[in-house]
Amino acid sequence: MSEPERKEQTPNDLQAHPGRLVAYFALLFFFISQTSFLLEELGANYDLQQFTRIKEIIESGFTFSMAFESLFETFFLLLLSFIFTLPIAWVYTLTKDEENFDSSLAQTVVVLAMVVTGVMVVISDVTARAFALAGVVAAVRFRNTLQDTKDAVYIFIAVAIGMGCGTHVYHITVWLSVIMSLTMYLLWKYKFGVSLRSVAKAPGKKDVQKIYAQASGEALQHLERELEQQVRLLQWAQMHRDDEKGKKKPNAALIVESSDAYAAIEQVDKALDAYGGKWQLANISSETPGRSTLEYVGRLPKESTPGTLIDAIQQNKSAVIIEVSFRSLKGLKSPVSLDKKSNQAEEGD
Amino acid sequence: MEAINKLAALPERFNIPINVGTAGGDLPTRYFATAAVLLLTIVIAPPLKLAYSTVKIFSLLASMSGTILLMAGLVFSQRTHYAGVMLILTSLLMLWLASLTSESGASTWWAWLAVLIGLIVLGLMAQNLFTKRCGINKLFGIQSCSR
Repeated sequence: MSEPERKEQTPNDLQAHPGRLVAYFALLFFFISQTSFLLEELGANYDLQQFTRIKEIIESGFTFSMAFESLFETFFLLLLSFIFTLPIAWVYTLTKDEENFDSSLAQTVVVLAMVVTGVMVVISDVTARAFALAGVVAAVRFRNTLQDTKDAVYIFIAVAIGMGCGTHVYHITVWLSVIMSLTMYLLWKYKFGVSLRSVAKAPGKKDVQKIYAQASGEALQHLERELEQQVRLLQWAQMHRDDEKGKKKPNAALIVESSDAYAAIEQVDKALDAYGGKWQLANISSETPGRSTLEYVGRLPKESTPGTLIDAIQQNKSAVIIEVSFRSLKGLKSPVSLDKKSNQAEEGD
Repeated sequence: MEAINKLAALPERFNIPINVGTAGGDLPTRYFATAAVLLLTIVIAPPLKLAYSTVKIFSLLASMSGTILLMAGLVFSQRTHYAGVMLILTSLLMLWLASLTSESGASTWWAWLAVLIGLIVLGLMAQNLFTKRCGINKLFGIQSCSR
């Protein structure tokens, strides 16, 4: 029998399915009901005098309350705490962007609930609980400066789950786990906040079309020329970085209008060598006779400004150079990625 | 050492298409599930004359362990789904059949049917361990059969 080829799924592909969260909670409730039936059956049919602690748990089911003596009970509470917090940590790993993701925090969320459960098991007095809560929150807060306020929320959920398990309010804890997981997931999924801002501020397609329709022919031509030049410069910068891997991408462009291209190149090269920074002549064009445009891409030296660079080029006051302008390419992305283009070409082959 | 090497070379020599994965606890949990179903089949068999409550406790324990395996598969992306699904479905089905026997009194027909189902599932799981692709997994769209 020939085996069909299967595409190997990565853990991320598998874990990112929201249905898994729902399935986990469904199974959790199923497990709780099964445990309840099992305990009921054990209590009804077997004499558990030798195991008094287990018997007490069986008799009172999931709403038992008693003195904190048994190791078994503590283990049971910690296990519950762990099971309830696990999906919270899972949602955290899903919803956090890669740059700010802190794996230690994901682990802290799970472990913290268990620690708090342990603390609440040990401190059973109500007054002491208040002190414990303050202590726990302060300990977490001052050990780690959380970059994102949402991180603090995850920590507080873990604290709440831990306290719930420690004080035997499982009916609250399980719903806290379910509702908070779903809330955090949905907030991330629908980009709550970000989506609201973008809807309010970003110009729509119709707005752009309206501006375009109102502009004169000359203005449009100028706009198109400017855009075309910007795209070209960005692509040159991208190519320059690809050629010299490991080096920083050029983030600035220098545009020199001249009456004599060869003389201007010689003069500008000399000025740039003296000034510093890494520059490369990317393009020479001439749209009108007796006027050439030189385009350089590169990076400014540290602690220098575009103004001083332009001054350095114009200091000779040569008649060859008509105009010098500087354009920053910082934060701009080329609308046509060269990598994508080459990939598409390869696929096409 | 030589013996171990010979043992390792066996599957290739006989070209046995082992379809269970060694990764993610797939193989050990399948062994566990097979053993649990075997035990449940023995417990439920009428000649043993065990009380319904005992059968119920065994079935619930099997189902609970299956639930934990399925939960582990979901959250930790371990390949324990197959064992989990098989344990839950088989143990609950067998428990239901045993309960029909308990309700109907003397008739052990339902208990024998439960034993038969247990044996069929055992056969499927044994076959699944050594021969063919996992039909049940494919039915559920679970990718737990690759090595």
